[in-house]
Amino acid sequence: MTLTRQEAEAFLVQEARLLDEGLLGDWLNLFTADGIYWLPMVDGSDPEREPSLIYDSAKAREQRVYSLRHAAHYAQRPPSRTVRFISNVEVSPAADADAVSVRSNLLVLEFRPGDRQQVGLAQQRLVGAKCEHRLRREDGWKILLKKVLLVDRDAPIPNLTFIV
Amino acid sequence: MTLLERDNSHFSAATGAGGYRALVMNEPHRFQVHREIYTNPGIFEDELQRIFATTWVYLAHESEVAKPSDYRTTWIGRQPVIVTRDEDMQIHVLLNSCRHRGNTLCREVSGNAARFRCSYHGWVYNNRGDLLDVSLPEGYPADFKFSGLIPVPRVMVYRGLIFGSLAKEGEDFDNYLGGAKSYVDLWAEMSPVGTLKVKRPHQFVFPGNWKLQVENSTDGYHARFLHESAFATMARFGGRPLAQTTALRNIGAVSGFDGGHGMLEKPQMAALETAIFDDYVACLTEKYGRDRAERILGGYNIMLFPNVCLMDSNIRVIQPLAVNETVVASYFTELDGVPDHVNRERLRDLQWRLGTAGLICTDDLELFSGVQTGLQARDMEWIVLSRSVDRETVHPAGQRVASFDGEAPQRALYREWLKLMCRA
Repeated sequence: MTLTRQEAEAFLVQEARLLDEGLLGDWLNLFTADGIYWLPMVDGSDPEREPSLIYDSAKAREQRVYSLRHAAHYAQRPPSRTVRFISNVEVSPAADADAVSVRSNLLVLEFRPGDRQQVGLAQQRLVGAKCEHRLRREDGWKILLKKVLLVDRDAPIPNLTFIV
Repeated sequence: MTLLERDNSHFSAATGAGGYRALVMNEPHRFQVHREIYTNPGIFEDELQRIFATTWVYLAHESEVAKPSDYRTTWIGRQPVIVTRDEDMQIHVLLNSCRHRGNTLCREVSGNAARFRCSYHGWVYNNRGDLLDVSLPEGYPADFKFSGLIPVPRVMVYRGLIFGSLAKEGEDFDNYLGGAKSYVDLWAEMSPVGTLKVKRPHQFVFPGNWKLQVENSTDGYHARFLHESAFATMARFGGRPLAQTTALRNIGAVSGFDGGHGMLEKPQMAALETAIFDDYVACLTEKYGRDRAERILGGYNIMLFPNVCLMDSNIRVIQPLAVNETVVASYFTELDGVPDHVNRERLRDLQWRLGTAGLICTDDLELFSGVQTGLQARDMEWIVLSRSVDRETVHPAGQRVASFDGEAPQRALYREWLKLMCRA
């Protein structure tokens, strides 16, 4: 099963668009039922034993999205506006025969609209990461693993509420 | 009051130590603190000197320096220190500053090293702080006296928690811990063998004063309001129903202790899967018996003055960087003596609720920004901490207990704060 670099890039761009436009229900549908959304603090650590920034199964992803959409979620009032830039896309075979691994670099520009005089609002923030999407062919390509390795993954970081 | 109105004045320099009494109003039916204690940079500098440089401060957990020559670097207020374990398993706490020209001796957060060599001119120390080697020593006068690293004068390890005090003389550790000690024991007994390991911390930074996180760590009143979305999510996804979750919040209690410590008890707060929770309860019951196990499962947030909270399954260190900037490190506690799946589930739960991107933690961080902004209103002078002020039950050891929504822990914090700030 192969995926061209162009097809892989189109997949990532589509995912980015869903997240930037807040179409989080559609984003959930990009994953396989056993898919994982993972932001490690240490690359290669065992997420069952070592803390991660995020290690979300399908249920946890659904909960996260439910909570993000909940009107009372104070940390997302106002919600983040994001613009994502994806580059350096590479496709390679994955360990499973029916999957491929797509590596990319990601830059997210986040902005929370509002009154600049309120601490934390109306300031732009850059979040940079190396990503790996392990994709499996089901009914179209689906995400088996989305691993986001933030450049500042092991440093103190400000509020991380939006989906990277 | 005119001095209070000058936000950037160096408060203590202007008024002397006695001035702080005007900032904590402690009356039989009213307890409030002045907004400047969160906003005035001069007061913040005094806190570093009068609180962090005098009292006991949590530094690290023993499991972070488990083996001979393990070390980790950390801070007492803004003073850099190295916590080391020597080859004889003794723990040392040393100022992380070379005796020659003051360079930071060790820049790593943690590691294993028998010796530390200064990058600047190559002076070498062992992990007890002794100076082993000075490069080109003939450059100094014949009778020149070299010195080793300056040790933090008092160090104490209790239940795996390493504390240090920069004061050569001062309150002994037992007095410092006071009535909170028996609860620290309960917290440590979360592990059926009484020991645990801490993991790499979730770390977050917020643009607000450090005491906002301290107050919040034992605040039972805010949860159902600020964290409404998290509770709604738990209710929607097979956790406890919201009504039940809310009711559970109501049967907890808060306490304030002499020495500035505070506590929130919130029975079975951790949202562990039922079957795994039952396995854990069985472990504790087998070891401690039913009654003690039930007390251990009380679910404690124990806020030890000034800046560490033993907070259900994490140790939370609240590091002041500036009057309006704070870093929090939340260390997951992996329990010894329980099945792997119990620790896995505790980690999942902690991360989901209180990790860097946790559904509850993020709301708290956002709140601290909101408070820091709101406190710019100068005529909004007084922060009100009067809930349950006349309904506290005072126990013989000085523990003041109120219902879960009371502000007894915050009042305890500011009684101790005032006591230390008034010592010139």
